Amino acid sequence: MVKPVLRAVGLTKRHGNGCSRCYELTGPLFDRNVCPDCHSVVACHNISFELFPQEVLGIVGESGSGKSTVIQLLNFNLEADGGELYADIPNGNQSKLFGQNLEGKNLFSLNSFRKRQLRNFIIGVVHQHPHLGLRMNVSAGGNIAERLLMAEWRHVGRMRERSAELLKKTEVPIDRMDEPPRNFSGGMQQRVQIAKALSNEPMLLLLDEVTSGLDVSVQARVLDLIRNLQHDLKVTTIVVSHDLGVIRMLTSRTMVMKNGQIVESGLTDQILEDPQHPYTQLLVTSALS
Amino acid sequence: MGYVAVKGGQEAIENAFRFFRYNQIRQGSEPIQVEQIRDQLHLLIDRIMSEGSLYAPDLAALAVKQAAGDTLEASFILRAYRTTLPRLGYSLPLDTARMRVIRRISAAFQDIPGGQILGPTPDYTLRLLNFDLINEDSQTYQEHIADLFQDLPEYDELPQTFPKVMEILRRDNLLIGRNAQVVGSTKSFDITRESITFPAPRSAALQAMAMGETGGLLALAYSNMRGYGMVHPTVGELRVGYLEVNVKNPYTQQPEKIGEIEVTEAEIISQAKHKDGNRPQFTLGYGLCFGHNETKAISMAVLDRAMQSEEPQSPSEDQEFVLLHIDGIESMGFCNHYKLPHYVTFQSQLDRLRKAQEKA
Amino acid sequence: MNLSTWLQQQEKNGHQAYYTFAFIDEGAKREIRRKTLKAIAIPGYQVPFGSRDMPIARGWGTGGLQLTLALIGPEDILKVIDQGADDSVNAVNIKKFVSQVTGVRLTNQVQEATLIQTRHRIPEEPLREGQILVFQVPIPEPLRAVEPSERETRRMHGEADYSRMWLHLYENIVQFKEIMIGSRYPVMVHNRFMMDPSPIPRWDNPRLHMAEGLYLFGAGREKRIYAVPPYTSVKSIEFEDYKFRVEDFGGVACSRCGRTNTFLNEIIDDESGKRTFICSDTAFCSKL
Repeated sequence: MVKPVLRAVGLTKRHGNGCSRCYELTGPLFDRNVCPDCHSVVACHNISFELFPQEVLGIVGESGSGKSTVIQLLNFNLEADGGELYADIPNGNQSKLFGQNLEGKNLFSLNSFRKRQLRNFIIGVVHQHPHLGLRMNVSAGGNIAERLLMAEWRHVGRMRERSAELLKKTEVPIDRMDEPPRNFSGGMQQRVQIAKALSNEPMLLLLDEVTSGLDVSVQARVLDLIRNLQHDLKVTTIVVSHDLGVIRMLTSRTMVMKNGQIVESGLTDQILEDPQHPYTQLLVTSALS
Repeated sequence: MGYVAVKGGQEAIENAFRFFRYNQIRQGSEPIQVEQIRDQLHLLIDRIMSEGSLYAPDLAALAVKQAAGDTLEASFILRAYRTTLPRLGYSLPLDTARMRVIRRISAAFQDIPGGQILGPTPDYTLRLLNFDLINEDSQTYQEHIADLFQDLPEYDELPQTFPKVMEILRRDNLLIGRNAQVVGSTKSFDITRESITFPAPRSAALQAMAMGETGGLLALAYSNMRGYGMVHPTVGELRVGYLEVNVKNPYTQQPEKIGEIEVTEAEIISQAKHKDGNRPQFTLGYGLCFGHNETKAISMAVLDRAMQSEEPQSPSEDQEFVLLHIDGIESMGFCNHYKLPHYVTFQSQLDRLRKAQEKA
Repeated sequence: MNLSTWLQQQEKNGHQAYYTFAFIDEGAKREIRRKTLKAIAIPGYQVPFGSRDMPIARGWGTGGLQLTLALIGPEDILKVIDQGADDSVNAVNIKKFVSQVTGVRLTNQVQEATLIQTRHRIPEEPLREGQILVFQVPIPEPLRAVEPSERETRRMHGEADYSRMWLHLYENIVQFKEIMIGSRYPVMVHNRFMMDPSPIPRWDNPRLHMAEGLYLFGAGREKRIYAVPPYTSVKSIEFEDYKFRVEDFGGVACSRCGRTNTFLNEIIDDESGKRTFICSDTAFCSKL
């Protein structure tokens, strides 16, 4: 049996002071994620899933559904209020983490230094807004080098080779490598961000609404690029999007989120062809119309 | 060969200082007495004590004389002296509601319980140079005093204490509660004993501002008032007066009066905050400093409120930005240290630039 | 000699003791010593301390001075240098003050000194075991060049997240084909903390590594103490293909002592711009 690469159990994140009734009074059943008693926001609650090697998992939902919160928890950008996270890190990658054995260890319980190492060596993220993932005043090559430097590359020549290779792969003209991304178009910035995320061969790639900020024509090109990269690199990926078109094109399995909870999950084709939950049905029909 | 000769540095330094002294006295006017500075330039003394963070009017006056009137330098001398004094203990908390007030005003209400007391202030006068002051002597002073007390009308004696305007608002639940503004530990931080780390507790922030430089505080507070910020203050109450300082007698455990200090306190009301389902309430900014220095107290109160912003948008709202840049002694010292020789570091920079030029 | 005999001697010599021995009150000295021990225990880590105000200005060596005053005893022999020189204005000023409040012996000789306070240089002559070199530090945070926020830089140290500094070097190379950092060249201490060696020239960086003496760093204005204990690994950061390099004087000799293996000050002789070079370490230069 194939072991999951990543296993999330009951991920929960709440903003605000919180009270004992937050979780029982929010969710899709009530169509709200704000607790009526204490006004805390339950960003996500009790999210569990497994992710298998080379799989592409989609998380779909409208804004406020909690899908981006899940990504931020997985990337240790936010501190979880509940839940556990386990990873099966292949031996080759373990040496990068100073040989620590993370088997059976809840990653949320690691200290911030260890979490930083996981982010540096294991995870790649592409954000919706390029400015969250890129330093706009540092050269495109420098941006990619930053990830490599985090992963302890210390050879300028080799980093430049690797950057050039990645920029070529993501269709950014190499002669613009030493230019800062602030000079680039939105689509090109996004491609630099993808190159940066992929630079140290992450075990897990997180794509957070990567095409949402782009013009439709540019979107198609970036999506094509991501699909080709998936085909070539076979990185285990989580794709978060509100756009069913993106989910259909990139993912094989999908979770549908609403008001901080999962309402339905399964094979992407199945969900799109035969949605079970009324909310998913609504999503699908409105997307088609 | 520059001011760091290989030899002879010592002598040059001593002569430079002699020259400085000479410049102060060479015109031959009457020597100024420390007590004259203390009494007649009392607002200057207040400022020096506050920025030098030592309540010692005589020493502050001495520092002013020694520094030839440079306020930064005088507070610096006073503060350096403080380093030699052991910290024997902490006073009991002072309650400003029990202040013996000489001035208290509110811009929020036309009339306040106890009344508006203007006290000593030049606020409402025209700032015309008063040439009469040129030829004053001690006799003129005596005549002034006699004049002042001659035709005094009947008056009611001032009450010992005045109710606080903020308490009126608080009673009606219009103002944020006391506890809501305490961030972190309720125990007072001591910034003279521990280095501030961020986020700093409010007690540390208030202490840093209380010893901050008036001009520095004003510049940052003004940036907020002008538009780089959202405080929009109303002066709820500004009071100037004297506070008894008490310490706990270690043997009897009873409070023991050790003296009195003059302080200025400003409480500013700022826009309403709506917190987690509670009813919206006005918020408060607090300022208090040694002596009579209203500009400083108000600036401090505005910055106190500004730094309570949850997501800083402007410099005055950024705790780190404000607290690390308002100390006059630190900033003046660092500014002037650039006058010290930097031959070695400059040599290193030259080396890098020449290398880069070779490669270009 | 203990403190009371010191005080008696002072009075005998007609010095009235307005100030306590070594100026700082004893409670404060103890705190500085405790923080110093902590700094030695965690090499390269910046320990916050309650920096006192000194009678010299902030930025003029108050951190170094507080360390010196907290550590000095009546029998110490003190050397103070600035830019390598014993007679430089600030060094003279500090020496005069310390000797006034302690009465300790002063020296220009590295070997004779038990305690050396310095600004911007490490003496050319190596320290031996038991000697302490106290550095005056204007900006203790090596990451300040790339990140203004103290909160953020403390996080970066906590997580050993130094990629921003490396990136700064990388961008230098892209732009200038050289690492452009002149002095204050960052080092890694014991492979854990990135440290600012104070504004010493790169020339002095190698002497931080596995040294016999104890190096203490005091930043008064920024209120930090840090340390490099004896025999500690201190490496200047560098790339495999762009190495750390010390200043290059192109084989020029000191015009006073004729040495070619010291850090030199470049002196513009006259208006024609003619240049000569002399040792920045004046005590070493005078030594045959």
